[in-house]
Amino acid sequence: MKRRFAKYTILAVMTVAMLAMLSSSASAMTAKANHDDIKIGLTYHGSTVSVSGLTDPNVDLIMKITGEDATEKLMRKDKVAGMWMNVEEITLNHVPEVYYLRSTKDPEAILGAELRNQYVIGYPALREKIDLEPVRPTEQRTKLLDDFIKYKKDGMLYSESLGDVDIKPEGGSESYYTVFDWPYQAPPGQYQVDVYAVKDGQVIDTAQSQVTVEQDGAIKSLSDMAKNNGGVYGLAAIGVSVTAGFGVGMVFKGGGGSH
Amino acid sequence: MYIYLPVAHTSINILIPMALGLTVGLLSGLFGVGGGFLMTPLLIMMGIPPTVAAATDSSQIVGASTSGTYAHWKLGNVDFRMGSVLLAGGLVGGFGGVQVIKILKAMGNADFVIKITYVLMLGIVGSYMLVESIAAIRRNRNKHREQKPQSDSRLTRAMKKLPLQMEFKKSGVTHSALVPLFFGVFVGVLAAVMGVGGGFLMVPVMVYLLRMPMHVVVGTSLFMILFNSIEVTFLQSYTNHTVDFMLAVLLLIGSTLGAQIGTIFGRKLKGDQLKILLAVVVLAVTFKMISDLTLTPSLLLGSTGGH
Repeated sequence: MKRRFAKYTILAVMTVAMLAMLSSSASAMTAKANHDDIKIGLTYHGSTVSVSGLTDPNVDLIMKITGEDATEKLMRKDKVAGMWMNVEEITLNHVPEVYYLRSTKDPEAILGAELRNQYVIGYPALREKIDLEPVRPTEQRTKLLDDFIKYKKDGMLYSESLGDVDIKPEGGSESYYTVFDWPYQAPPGQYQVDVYAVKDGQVIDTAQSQVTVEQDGAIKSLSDMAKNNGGVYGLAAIGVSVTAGFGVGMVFKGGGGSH
Repeated sequence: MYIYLPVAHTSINILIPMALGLTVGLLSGLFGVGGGFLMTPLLIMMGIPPTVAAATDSSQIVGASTSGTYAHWKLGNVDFRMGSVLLAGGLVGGFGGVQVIKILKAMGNADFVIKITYVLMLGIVGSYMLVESIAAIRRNRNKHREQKPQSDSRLTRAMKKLPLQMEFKKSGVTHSALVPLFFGVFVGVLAAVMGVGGGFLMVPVMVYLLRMPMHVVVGTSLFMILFNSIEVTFLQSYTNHTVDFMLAVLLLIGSTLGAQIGTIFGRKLKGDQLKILLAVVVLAVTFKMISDLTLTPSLLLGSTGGH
């Protein structure tokens, strides 16, 4: 009797577990970046990237778009003889070129510091991730990295925002939709879109997508030539400048003309 | 209408660089300066990365100085002989200046020396030109026409004793070739240290030390700037890949036109009036630099590139 009870119990637990797994895979979060291939042409002045997908109901969402990690060199200013000067070159490693974050609630209110650091969510987590050379005491490091983040924000390459996520019920799940303004300052490259579903202080699901930004047409040709054929590019620039100078000089024959 | 700049990686309203080019081209045609000391900071303020701003500016100066040199050549205002000797000195000095910068960078105080040199040179040149030109205009107004024969200074007498005396007909002066060569080297070193073409330094040297007439000074200075900027444009394109062709063309449209208009205006102004105007521009830039150096910046980080 006892054996039979144990058998049924194990069977029941396995069935529940399987059902749970099935239901989880049915409502697994999805993410899609619409307008995921941005072409930079002659009249490009920025674009938009919308991120949409399906998620479990009653979760908070955090969306992050990041560029590839890079190394940046900047000059640190300090006072010398009463004047502000560049006094030292600093190197910042593991710096995303672009960092855009949007969430339905303040990430600090819905996720603990450890998880925010693990998923690099929010500026404090980004500060933790960046490796600064030469090494500085904590207070100086925080000040320098805060300034660095402000520098990037001024250049429209970093931003954080709350809200602006449209969520609607769809079947047993919810659909979400948000639009990021894509500034023209974001350079060509591959960008990663990460969406995190947060519930009860835990990241319960994630989804990823990609955005590609690339130069096109005349812009691409000029950029490639500048990079790969610097000599020819320089001579062409000089040729055009000299021709333009003479050309305008000819037009002004009457005005600036000879005695 | 906006246009995307392929090397600066930024988008810009096309009217802004055209207007900027027109303004700086006007100064170029009026005073014989390249305008780099004005254009590069303005481009940076518009969001162009400093390295691209400095390199593209030199490309634009090629166009403006071609236009200006051509206009002044037609007016008979270019002393090619004097210009060539100064240019030769400038090229040697420029090479020396680059070495000086390398040493200063290794010592870790390059930025301090560059900025102090900038403020001192601009301040001294601007103040001297302003005071001297106002005094000259006052003298003319008072009509003290009985011109006393000017006695040669000790420096002038020493310069006259040097070998290789040459007559510079267009400028109406005779100097040893060593004199313009020395001043060319001097300005070349300073220009390289400061990271500019050096027009605003060369103009006072030609006016006050070589005693050339102001209108010939403007034309001859532009002739030298043309060659300097061609060299810099090529080197920047070849070595650093930082010349933005699209931006250069937009600046050129304005600056070539501005250089011609400047030349026409320059013909209508007297030499001393021109000097006062240039002095005011130079002093305005000096005050801007002093305020940048003394006011606490909003960020304690800055870009590594630029002048």
